[in-house]
Amino acid sequence: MSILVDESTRVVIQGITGRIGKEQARVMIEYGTNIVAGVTPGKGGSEVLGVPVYDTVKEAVKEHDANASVIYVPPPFAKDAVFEAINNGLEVIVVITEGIPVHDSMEFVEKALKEEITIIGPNCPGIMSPGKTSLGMIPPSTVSPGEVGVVSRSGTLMFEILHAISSAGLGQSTAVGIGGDRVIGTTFIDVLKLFEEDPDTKSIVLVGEVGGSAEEIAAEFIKEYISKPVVSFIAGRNAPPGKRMGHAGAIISGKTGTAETKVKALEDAGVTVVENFLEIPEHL
Amino acid sequence: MKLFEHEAKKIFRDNGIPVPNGVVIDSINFPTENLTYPVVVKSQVLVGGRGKAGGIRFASNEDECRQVVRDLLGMEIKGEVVNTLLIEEKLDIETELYISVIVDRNSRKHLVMASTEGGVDIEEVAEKNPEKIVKYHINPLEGFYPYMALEVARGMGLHGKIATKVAGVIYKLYQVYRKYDCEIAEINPLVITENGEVLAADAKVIVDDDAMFRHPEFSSIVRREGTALEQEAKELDLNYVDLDGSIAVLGNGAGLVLTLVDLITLYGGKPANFLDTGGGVREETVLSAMKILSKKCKSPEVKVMLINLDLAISSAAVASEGIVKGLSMYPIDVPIFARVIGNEAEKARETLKNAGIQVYEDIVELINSAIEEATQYEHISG
Repeated sequence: MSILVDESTRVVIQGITGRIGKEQARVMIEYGTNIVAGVTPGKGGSEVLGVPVYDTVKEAVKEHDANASVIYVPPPFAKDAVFEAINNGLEVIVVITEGIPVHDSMEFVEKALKEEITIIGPNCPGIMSPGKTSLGMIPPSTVSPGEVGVVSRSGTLMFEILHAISSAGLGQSTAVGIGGDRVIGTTFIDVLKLFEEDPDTKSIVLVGEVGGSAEEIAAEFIKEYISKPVVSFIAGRNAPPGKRMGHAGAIISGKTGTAETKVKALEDAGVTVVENFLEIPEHL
Repeated sequence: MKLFEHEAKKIFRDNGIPVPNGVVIDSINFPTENLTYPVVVKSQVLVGGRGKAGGIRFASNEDECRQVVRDLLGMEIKGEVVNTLLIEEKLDIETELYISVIVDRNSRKHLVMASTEGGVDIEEVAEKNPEKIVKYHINPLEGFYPYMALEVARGMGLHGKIATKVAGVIYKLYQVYRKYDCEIAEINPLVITENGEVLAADAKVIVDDDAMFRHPEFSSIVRREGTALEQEAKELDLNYVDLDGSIAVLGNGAGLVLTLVDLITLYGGKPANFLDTGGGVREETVLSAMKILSKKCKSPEVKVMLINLDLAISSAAVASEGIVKGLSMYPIDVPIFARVIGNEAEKARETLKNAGIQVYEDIVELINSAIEEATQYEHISG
């Protein structure tokens, strides 16, 4: 098994005609993702990589029974695209777009919570169940099917960690990049809960970074509810306070968000926290 | 983007939040006819703690005021030069309150905070007397209604006319926060005067950088924050932070570059900077990055440059040719150590090798080689 997405997931790509959307659609199709339609307002009736393009999500759902979406729509139009996906009944919505105003994200995240729909991201690399499907831009070359569940705030760092796990002869049940923004849909806790329930996930890797207190909250949850072994790596032990370190969410403000408090909270919850991510496979 | 107090106060005034009478000046020749003394002269800087640093002074007449202005203009507060002053009429303070609206990351809702403990550091109040802070979460889809603002004011223990006046300001502060896409809009202190007037004596507004595309009203503001190189990098849309070590760093993806900085430190080296080109590598960002780092590498303490690119979602050709092209445009004299993995990495490695760059496949080997090179120089220079 895997969590959230598998070979039965029927994917629509919003923003498929853009440069990045098209590039990524090609990789996903090659991997075997069941991409049933693309959506770009004004481009309905055309085709991209053999995939039919519609003006609206409504038509894509009606014609192809899509149940998930990957969004590559630029920031000014992203909120509209996410509401369109939610209101047309898509169950898993992956928002790749980076740079969405935080007030916009708060609105669609609230809407998704209310409708009990899964939003992954924004500003994330997506989700992949190796050997089954990929929604987003996690590189196929870094993964192999297996029993490790991976959840990460960072994209490229997660790719390196997936690669390290695969190189050690292990593999992943599902890898989820939850995104580097301050306000995100699916949280560490949501993913931890799903990994705990998934019989094919035997251990969990949690990749955090400085800023906010998502790791501390995850640690509390792990202490209470997670029985499977968790290994963690926290990026940013040497990040200076008060500076935005790339991600909008990666900023230490006052005493909140330091790597030190995150590492301590996780260790107190029984999590193995490694200083070098290359050591992760040894502990799985 | 953080606004100066006077910029934030102009927004407040334009949106119906009362602020004290005042003038903004940037030279010692300033008009005085519209001022009633005594006044307070406030340094306009973005760093916190300007009061304790002597950046806020009082003056009871024009002569004193001119002297204070001479003292403050050009003064440095935590490394920031004071170029602008806000002169305001001094208020007859009866009570100081605190109100703010922020993006609450954990609840993912807007959060109104209010306290009768105004005029002091709110984090201290939160630590020592958390019961003195009223917190009110706002559902982003529902919004904020006037009755909610009144509930906050009542929660602070205010009543009667003062409660409705303060509630009015809280409501308008939320409107400002939403209208201008703020990460935080804060008034500390919100002053109640002896005459029962309610005025924003200070103003802190930080606008979401990601929302600038819909706020042309801020496009003319050039914000100079951080070091010269950080400012230049920001103009080039790079995520760059100066550190003070000997190994310049170029990487893609925030988490991965943070990790490079950590690993360099873990293995005994000293990173000179954080530079994230973004997860996907584009030629123009690589060129911008090389421009910034060629400047960084000119400083004598930088001995080595380290490049780590994960081409999972980018073209190898774009990345490696971008670096080589960048080198020809912006020469770098220190040795360069690079690692490239991902799609067509082999091709990228060839291109880099041909340009005289030392290429590694293993991240630990890359980092250790760079550290060895950097420390070797340290020994020579004593």
